[in-house]
Amino acid sequence: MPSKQRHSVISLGAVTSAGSVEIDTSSFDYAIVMVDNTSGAGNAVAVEASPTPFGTTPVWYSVGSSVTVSTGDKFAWPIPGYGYSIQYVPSRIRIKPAGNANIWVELVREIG
Amino acid sequence: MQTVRLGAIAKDGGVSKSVDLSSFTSAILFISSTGVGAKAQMQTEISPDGFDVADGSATWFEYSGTIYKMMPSGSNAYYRSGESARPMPNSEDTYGVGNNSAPCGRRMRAKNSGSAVGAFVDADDSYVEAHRRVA
Repeated sequence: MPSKQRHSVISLGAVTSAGSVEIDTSSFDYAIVMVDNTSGAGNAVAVEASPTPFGTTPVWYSVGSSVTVSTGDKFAWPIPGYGYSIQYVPSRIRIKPAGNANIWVELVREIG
Repeated sequence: MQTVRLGAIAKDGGVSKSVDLSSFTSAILFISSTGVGAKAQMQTEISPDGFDVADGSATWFEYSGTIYKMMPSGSNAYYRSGESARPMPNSEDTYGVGNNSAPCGRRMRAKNSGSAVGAFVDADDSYVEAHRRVA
């Protein structure tokens, strides 16, 4: 597998709390979320994970604490972040902002 | 492992060229600055845009807190002149102490966010050392 495939970036587009999108991260070790809070004050962005496999109805668990991104700010942080010394990403996650935000997720894997 | 020299980065929002770290999973930022009672206030930024987008046109996201806060000890340790090396990203405030296993972004750059006024200085020189796991 080429080393260039260590990183993959996906755009979730504009995401709201009602429209959060789940992501299959099972083939990656790490993930970074990038949030562009274009409107709304203090957008609290939460990361949630589910222990159930794809194809089953997920029960979502919050991972770490939500990160508040101020209006007009562009901020990125590793998942799960906030005080976790081990940064491996859960295999099934979703990003759930309190308001509207443009979101990207960068996935990273170790190879060899 | 690979090392890229970014060179000097001016205070008040100066940024380095972007670095392609797509074949690496972790990186270390080296910074040197001079001046007693002054500090270079560095941050790292990442972008979801590919390298077909020019640095100035890409969307950049702040990916670390201020690196001067990461000086190892002493309340005024970050005021010292000299050299510092820190994993990218790093921020005690945002990611927690000991969070050195966080991945680097595919496309990263360093930023000197130190104010034009006050005890802030240019970074005289800087490097990025990128790493990947060896089989």
